[in-house]
Amino acid sequence: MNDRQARRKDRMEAARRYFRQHHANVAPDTGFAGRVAARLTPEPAEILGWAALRLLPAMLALIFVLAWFAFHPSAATATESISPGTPVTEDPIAWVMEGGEGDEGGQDGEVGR
Amino acid sequence: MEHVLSMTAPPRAESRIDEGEAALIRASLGGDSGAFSELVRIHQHRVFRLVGRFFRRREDVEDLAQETFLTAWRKLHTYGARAPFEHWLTRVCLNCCYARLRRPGPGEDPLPEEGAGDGATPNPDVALDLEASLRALRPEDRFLLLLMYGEGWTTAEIAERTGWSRVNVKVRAHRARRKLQGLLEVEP
Repeated sequence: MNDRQARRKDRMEAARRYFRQHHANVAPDTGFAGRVAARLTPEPAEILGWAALRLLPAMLALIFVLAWFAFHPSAATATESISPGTPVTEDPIAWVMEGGEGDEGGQDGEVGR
Repeated sequence: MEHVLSMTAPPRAESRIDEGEAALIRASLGGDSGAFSELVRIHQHRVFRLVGRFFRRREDVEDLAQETFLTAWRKLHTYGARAPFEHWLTRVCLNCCYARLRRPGPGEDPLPEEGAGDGATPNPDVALDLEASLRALRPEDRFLLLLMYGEGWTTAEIAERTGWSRVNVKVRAHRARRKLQGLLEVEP
């Protein structure tokens, strides 16, 4: 074995010894188990946080639905008429009776004139 | 490459589980944190000793030890009771240490002070040199070498306790040794 091989062998042996003794030498104190136990049960704030997170999808869906109804009013409540001569009335029968006389003016509820 | 160590304890034909410990485990599974605290007291020294193999600062050792037990609490339902609880807990501990070693970012243990020597070698300069070589290794290699040379585990024992295959451990061990040799051969 030449010098280089002998040096390499010595260094590897030193490394192995070093690894065997590579240690923090830290022991748990008397309060360690108590500290772990304190972290086993979640705090009330944490429980509430997780509950809110679970409800988030349903809340977002509800907000979306409400916003949709707020920005998309139904046709029954529309005040704008389709044509200027079309009489506006909430009574469908009266609307049918009056709808054919679109050239006459002065009818109640009529807009656009 | 297996990045996550298997959490399931290996099956064994002959396994002896302490009855008192089995009762504590059953109570813990039922949500009894007091019973689990008792398990912590039973195994805390072993966990500290194993974590201390990989980390030098006290706060890091305590942090990883707590993480080990909290992970064990969350995953206790995966313990199959086919092997001693100690073996399962060892695997949880190694999993936590391995994940922390591979995590990028600051948190490296500081190198020992020059001349301070930890008793491993009579020459503190050699100790510093070895520490620097150890630091230059990849976390995966450092992990394996510390189990082999530090804990003195055989390839079979490492495979059993980590859940890796024996072939995997042998290949990794061979590569880690070659890398260490390469680092040590670099003349300062």
